[in-house]
Amino acid sequence: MLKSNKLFAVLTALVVASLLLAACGAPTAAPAVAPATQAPAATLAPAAKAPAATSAPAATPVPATAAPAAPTLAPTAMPDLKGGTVTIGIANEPQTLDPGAAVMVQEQMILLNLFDSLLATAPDGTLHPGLALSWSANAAATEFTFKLRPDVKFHDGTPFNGAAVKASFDHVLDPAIKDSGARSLLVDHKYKETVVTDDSDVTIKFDSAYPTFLHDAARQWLSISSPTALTKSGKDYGRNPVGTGPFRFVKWDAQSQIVVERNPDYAWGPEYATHKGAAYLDQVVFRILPEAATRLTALQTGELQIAADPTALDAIDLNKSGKAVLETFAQPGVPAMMMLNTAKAPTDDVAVRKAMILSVNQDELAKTAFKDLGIPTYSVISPTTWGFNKDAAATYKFNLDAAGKLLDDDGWKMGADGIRVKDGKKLTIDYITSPTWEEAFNELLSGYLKKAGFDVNMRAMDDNAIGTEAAAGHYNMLYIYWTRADPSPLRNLFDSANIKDGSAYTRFVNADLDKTLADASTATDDKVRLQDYMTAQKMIMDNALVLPLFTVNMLYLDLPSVKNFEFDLEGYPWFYDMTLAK
Amino acid sequence: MLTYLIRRILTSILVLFGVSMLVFSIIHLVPGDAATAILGRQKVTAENLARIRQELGLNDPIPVQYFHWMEKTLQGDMGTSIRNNLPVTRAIMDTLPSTIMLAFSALILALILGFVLGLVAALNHGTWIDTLAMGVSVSGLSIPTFWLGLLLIMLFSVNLGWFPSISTGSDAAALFLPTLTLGLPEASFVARMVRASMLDVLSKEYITAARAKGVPEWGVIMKHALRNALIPVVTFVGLQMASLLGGSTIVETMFARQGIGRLAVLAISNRDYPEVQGVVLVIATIYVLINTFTDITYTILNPKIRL
Repeated sequence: MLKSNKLFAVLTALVVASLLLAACGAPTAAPAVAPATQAPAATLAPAAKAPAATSAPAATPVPATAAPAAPTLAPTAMPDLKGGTVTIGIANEPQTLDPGAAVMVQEQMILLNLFDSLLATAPDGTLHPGLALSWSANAAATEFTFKLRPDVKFHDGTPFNGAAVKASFDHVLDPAIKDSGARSLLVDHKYKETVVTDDSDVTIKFDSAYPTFLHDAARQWLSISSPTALTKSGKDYGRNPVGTGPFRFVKWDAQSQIVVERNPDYAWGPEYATHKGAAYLDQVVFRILPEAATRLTALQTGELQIAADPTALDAIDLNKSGKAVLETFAQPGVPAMMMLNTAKAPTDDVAVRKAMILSVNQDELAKTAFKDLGIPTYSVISPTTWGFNKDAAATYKFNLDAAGKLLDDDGWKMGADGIRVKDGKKLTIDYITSPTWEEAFNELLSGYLKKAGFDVNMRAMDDNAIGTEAAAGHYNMLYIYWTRADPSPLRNLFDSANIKDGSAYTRFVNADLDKTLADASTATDDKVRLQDYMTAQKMIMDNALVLPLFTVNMLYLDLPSVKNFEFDLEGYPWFYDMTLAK
Repeated sequence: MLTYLIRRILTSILVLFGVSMLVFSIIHLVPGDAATAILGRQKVTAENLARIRQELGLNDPIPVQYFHWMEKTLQGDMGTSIRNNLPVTRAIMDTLPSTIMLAFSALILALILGFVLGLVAALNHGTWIDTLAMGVSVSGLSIPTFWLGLLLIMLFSVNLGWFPSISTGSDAAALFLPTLTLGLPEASFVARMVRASMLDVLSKEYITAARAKGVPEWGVIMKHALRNALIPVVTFVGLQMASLLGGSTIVETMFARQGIGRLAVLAISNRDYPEVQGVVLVIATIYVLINTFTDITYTILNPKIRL
């Protein structure tokens, strides 16, 4: 009797424990700022390339640039700026620190500080020498030749040379890396080979035109790893990264923290940095704190110097109180928006889609959901992105009456319950969303649609389930955003070739749009690319394929003692110039 | 005694077998296909699905799958995490010590505090001291862990600045607040138990006899009363140790400590089946081991009890 009781007790305890664990699972599940989505690449807001708003894109083959004089040892670094440890609280743990295998936002932030790339992109989007002193490309944009710096050493002492470049590029296509940002760049553009002419000259070849390669080559995904470490660590390289960057990897305590320290030999910082030589900070600790409230508390107690992704309200309060400084960065690329499924009723009807856009008040939504930090957005490309088309953004302006009229004319008659009906069918919008995504925001959005006579059927599920439903086309609208300094994600999101197995969630098939987007991503003339992207934006808005919402503002709170907080061109904090007041 | 031991250990093995079946069935109880969940950030294509199913051995009959899984698990290979492609065994080994450390320190706190509180209350039975001590323990039991933790953070980290609000590692300062959060409710349990048990024993005739023999009061309490009062407490402590391991989930999440509880949360929220299986199996095994150990200790403490 007693024995069976025990058995029962143990099994019950086990089941209860798993249920408890399951119950506890939900709240920590997702990132604070980048909520639900599906498209893996898009959700994770992958890195970009290309220039930002201010400068003209230099996507075309760039003539060899004059090499800047190699900086001598830290002449400007004043001794009193040196020292200190900055601890930054981040929401999500990286999965890998192997640039070739990385995808996630939180990975890029750390990689940016550990690694250098062949080129470097200034925050204004201009290209500068990185590990390469000069570069050139052939007219077809398939071959890129780089003259490498002779004086660079990896953190493990391995000298940087052409072989290291080849090893890093070839490593991306290692079959062990199943899916990564770098891999999709190289596979999509048919990477052929890296030819090492000698220690300081390499040519990287592709089988298809890759006009934006120089910009991608300046980003974290294609940064250069130590060939010695790649061989030595093998499968474990993602946990033992070795680069040439201003900080070197110290340790990674699972779930807890990643520690990096100053690389004292660093003498090859980019020319747009405010100083030369080694970084000022002794150490940077990336503390993994999934709860926004925990990060905020730790910032107030001084355990953190920087807290990533605070809630808008906390950010404003703390900034006002003077206890912390709010750093904001409006993400370029595809803003937060709803992809409207043109292959499923009722959003297969363009009038319905237009009415949806007209019934949402973006100004009010951004203000209400994100206080003063929301940036209302009216197009498929955010306003700070190169190639932003003002005309496309002016296609629709919130107008409930106009939305009602469109629906009336289309045969959707208002029912007694406030929901429109046509041919006995209700105007129901199937919306799959994550339970961790701000409820208030979802309620607000459905509220607008309801006013126009829509019935929003919100189905909350986890990201994986969203992925499955999205792939199957079981939705009318789907939330998405994609950080990138140029409009190139438009091809991933709207080229009908990407409906199957890809991210073209509007499922819109139009040969003209496909052709324009294909042309935009392969044209070697910037003027042509710009015109293509302008045209594509207008086509997308005219067909009401998306319901634009707001531009994601990346938020960081830092203590007043943190000086020289800098963002790179995609909004990742760059610690090279940062100092800590003593 | 020996027969009992053997019997008890055999039962435990049987229970562990049941547990392993239950844990194994997790992957088959999941709605949809584990393979689609695993694909996650990759493209879900028929080709990819077929590959993953092949890799996972999902095409084999279920008993065969169980056998393969068990074979590997017994060799210490619990598969590879979907989240980061690292061996699950490694993730567990990385985080388990931190959880055990926390559970132990919380248990020690619970025992010391609980014993003192319980004894004081029992010895001052019916006085205001008793009422106060029990009042404290009722509050300790009623306050939810997450709220207690927040209050402690507010007081000790934000206002006083004495202890860190986020804690890593095993140094005393980092352990203090999580230990307090996890240990206080347990201390309240122990206190109530010690008090009740002591009161029960103190009213026994042999205590009166001991007193009549002229044994000093201190000796009566320590030698005669406490030893007998310990028996129910020991059982309880055994079970509590196991529940502390589970309870660490909330505390670890709150203080952002690394540990197996937080690993479980991460694994579940990422639908990382191999990791969920591994974590649940390890926690369940610990439960069973502690239970067996408790039963054995029990019989040693009181030879009258032979189950």
